Amino acid sequence: METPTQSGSWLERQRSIIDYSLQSMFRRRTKNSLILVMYVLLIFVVSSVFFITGSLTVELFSTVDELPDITVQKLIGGRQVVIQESYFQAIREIPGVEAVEPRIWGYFYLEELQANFTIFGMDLTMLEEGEYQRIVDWGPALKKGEERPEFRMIIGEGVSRLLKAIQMEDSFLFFQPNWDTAIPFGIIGTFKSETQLQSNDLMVMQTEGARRVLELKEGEYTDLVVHVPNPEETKMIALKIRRYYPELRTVTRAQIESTYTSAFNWKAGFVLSSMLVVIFAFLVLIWDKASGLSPAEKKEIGILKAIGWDTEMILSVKFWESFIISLLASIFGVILSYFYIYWLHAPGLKEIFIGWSTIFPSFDLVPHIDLKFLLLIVTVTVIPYSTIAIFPAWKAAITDTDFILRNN
Amino acid sequence: MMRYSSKLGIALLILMLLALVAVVDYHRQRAEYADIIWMRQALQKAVGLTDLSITTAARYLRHYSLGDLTTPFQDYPASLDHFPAGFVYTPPDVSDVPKPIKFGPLPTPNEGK
Amino acid sequence: MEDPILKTVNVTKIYNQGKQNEVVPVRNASLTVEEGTAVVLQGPSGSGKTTLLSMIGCQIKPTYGEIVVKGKQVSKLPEKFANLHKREHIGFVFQQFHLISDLSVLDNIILPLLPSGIPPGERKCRAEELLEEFELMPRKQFKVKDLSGGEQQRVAICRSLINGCSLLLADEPTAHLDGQLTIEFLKYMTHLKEKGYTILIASHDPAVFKNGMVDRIIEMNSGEIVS
Repeated sequence: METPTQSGSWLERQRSIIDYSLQSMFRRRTKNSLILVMYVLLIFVVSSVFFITGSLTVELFSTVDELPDITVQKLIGGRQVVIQESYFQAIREIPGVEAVEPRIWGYFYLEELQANFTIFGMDLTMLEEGEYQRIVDWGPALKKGEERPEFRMIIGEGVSRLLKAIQMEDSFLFFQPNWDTAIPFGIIGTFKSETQLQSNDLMVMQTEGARRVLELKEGEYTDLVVHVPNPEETKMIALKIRRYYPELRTVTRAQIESTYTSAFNWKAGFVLSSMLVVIFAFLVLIWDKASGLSPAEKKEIGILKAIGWDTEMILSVKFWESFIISLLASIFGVILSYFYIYWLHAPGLKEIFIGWSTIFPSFDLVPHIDLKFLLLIVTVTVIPYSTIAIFPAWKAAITDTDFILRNN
Repeated sequence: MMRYSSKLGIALLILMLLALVAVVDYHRQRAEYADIIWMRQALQKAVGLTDLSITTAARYLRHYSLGDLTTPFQDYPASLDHFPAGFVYTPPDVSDVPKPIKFGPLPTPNEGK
Repeated sequence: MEDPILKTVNVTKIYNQGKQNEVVPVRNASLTVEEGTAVVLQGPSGSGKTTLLSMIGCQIKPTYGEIVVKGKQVSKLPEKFANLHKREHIGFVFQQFHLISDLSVLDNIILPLLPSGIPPGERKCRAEELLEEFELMPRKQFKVKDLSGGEQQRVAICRSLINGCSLLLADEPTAHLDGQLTIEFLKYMTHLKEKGYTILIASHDPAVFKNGMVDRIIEMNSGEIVS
């Protein structure tokens, strides 16, 4: 009579155990596919939120070096009001300040389209010459604009799309309720779509035109931008401005940066709360796994022990079962969310981040994936899930075989 | 009949291929980013406004890093938040704002740190 | 004289030792079984047959005493080695069969081979040999739960033999079988005995211990071996 021993290789042994795990998962396919779907969904939602917020934060920070050093606003009665030219002179006197630039900007609400545009006034010749030319798609309306140079503007792609719908893509008629007649503004160009995330709702016009639309008198400005060459001094100069003129508010670049950092702090947001349901469902599943095995599963463990399987082999079966589920789910969930965010541009999720505004930027975000995040996903899901499943199996496996088989 | 572990192997292989597609795509998109970033920086330099124009629903959302703590309540203290974008944002960081009402000599620049 | 394939010396099993509900199903059981013989452990229900058989089959450990199977003192072995010995040398047919009901016949039979890492080709080969022998070939891909009681028992026998063991233990094998199936079962046992297997059956069915293939009857009563 032949006598078999531990003849198979270690690899074959593991493979046989994995085979058996997969087979027993397949036997309980309804339950396991439900777990898999929940698991994929959880990983998918978490990584989608991480991807989108990560990319948006990267977008925010991509231009952070070009931000003004200090922005100065005037507040009265808790509201921002126009700032006068006199401040502009006084701040320039503060030692360490290289230049002060007054800005004119504001919003224009177009009732017909229920759209909110950002109006920004500047000397457009700066964009029309030099390297800045590259960021604008210059339109054929250049001539028309030249006729009345103070009423010309460059608009963002989102604005252009909206104006096309009301046949005003070449020239837009501005009208404020207290005006007698509307003022036509020639549109001389559109900001390139690459800059869309910043320029989408912009109407950049010649200073005089902006002053007219925003109804600012001569010598009045929206805010001031202060240039401080030495970054060490910025905070101090901001403090000085505040102490000399308590009605002024300063926003330094460091402050904007720290606001950016926490901007899409998803933990504070809507997404987490909507995800709570998924998280709880997942916890219930984990609890279900951790709290015990069904009588059929216990019986199976008893049988395996009775025919000579070691406890550790039974545990490996259970480990492989949950490890395979969580591995497949997390890889699949992450890949799925990558394609969802960066190929499909996050339909459904992006609305949460851009609100109900009329001017939607198209969402071609540049992928930004943090390896630390992928590692985190693995640590917080795969490891606890695969280990927790072992405990009830271990409990069943160390119980007397006889006892399990008699009682189940 | 094929062994279960072979089927799992094939499934993993397909997933790996998908992951590879994603990784390749990731690097392609990142490479294209260099030119885009130049344009964005140029625009930022020319038009010094802050923030992304992804939330145009309300003033305090559009340039919210220029807003202060009272801005969200622009109309009256109980005014409703612009849902959902206003809910996703955390309030602007004002921890670093210098306190204006402070008597005595100004601290020297080194003290501020 | 050749060493017996199985020997037990003063084997005692005590449950809940030292407590009020202390139970002693087996007390000072000593027996020897020579290679190639068929032995029946006979006795009424509760006489400790099953417990003794379970201890011999390394299912449970004796409290006192020693059990030697194929020259190895299995009662003293740690679990891992006892399991290994069990996997290699002992075949056990349970009273309730203990098959995994939603696995196919073939998959049930090869279960004991999985931990040894025997390649799938060889596993299948051995299983099919046994299926042929026990006339189960047409049922190969059936799920166990779709089989009749007699067929299930044959699957259980196949599973216990697949490891190439030489000692076959069967616990109340005819309890769930009617007269015809009992005769059939004994026919298979006779066949196995002729092939050289050592068979130890625990039973209180006269049809079993009165059968001609049985070499010896060991009688148990109240946990002790009477004769």
